Amino acid sequence: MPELKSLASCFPVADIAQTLRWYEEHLGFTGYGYPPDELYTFGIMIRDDIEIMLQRIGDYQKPDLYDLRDGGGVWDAYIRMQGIKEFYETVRDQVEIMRPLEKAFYGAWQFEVRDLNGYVIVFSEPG
Amino acid sequence: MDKMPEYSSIVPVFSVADVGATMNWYQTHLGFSSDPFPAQEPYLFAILFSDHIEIMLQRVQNYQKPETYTLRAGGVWDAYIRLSQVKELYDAIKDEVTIIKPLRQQPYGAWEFEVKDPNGYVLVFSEINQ
Repeated sequence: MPELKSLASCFPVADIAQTLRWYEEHLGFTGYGYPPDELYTFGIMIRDDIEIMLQRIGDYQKPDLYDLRDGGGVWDAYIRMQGIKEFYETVRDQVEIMRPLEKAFYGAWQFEVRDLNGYVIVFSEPG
Repeated sequence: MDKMPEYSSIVPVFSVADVGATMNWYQTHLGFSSDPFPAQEPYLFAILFSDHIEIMLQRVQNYQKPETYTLRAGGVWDAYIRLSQVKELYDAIKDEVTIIKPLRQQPYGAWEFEVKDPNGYVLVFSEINQ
């Protein structure tokens, strides 16, 4: 039987090199761009057990969907982690926080970040 | 909550107009289980899960995903899923779902195929042969 082992979120972005730098500087990822010596058309960013892929669309602007949903924002990726409180303290003054660290009604501690391209990423730790 | 920060998994979150119909599609064709909220339709949110991966759905009324696939040579993906026995999965679903690219070996060695889900999200299924 086929077994699904892991999943990487994929984001289209206009500028892969700039996106790699932002994720390296603020969120601790290690980034790789391809092809190596030219304008990158593809990128992979890795930290711990997770992976995000970037695909270049020239001039791409992500539509802003955040407010289209009642009772909460529209998310693009949800990252499960440990050590969220310490992590929040290190990133809160460096990145755009859509929602501060708080305990959701289902028990998880989470906060929301908007990245440089407008993708909304939720960081979450079980309470 | 005093451990060193460590990321353990990433879950893509898809905006969809109909959470229930999307859950059914993932269950029928890809074997995902689902955990919707609230417990009765219309669902506002759901977690889909299978083996080691998860996908989340958020309901955005009347949402239509913009078509971006052709804006890049090589396609535009939404999730890249690594698995074992990709050929078995391909043979099992290729006549039931929209295949954007058939199973083939990429220059970087992976065997991949691409599926478009009922909302237009593009899933890549990939296996590296050992």
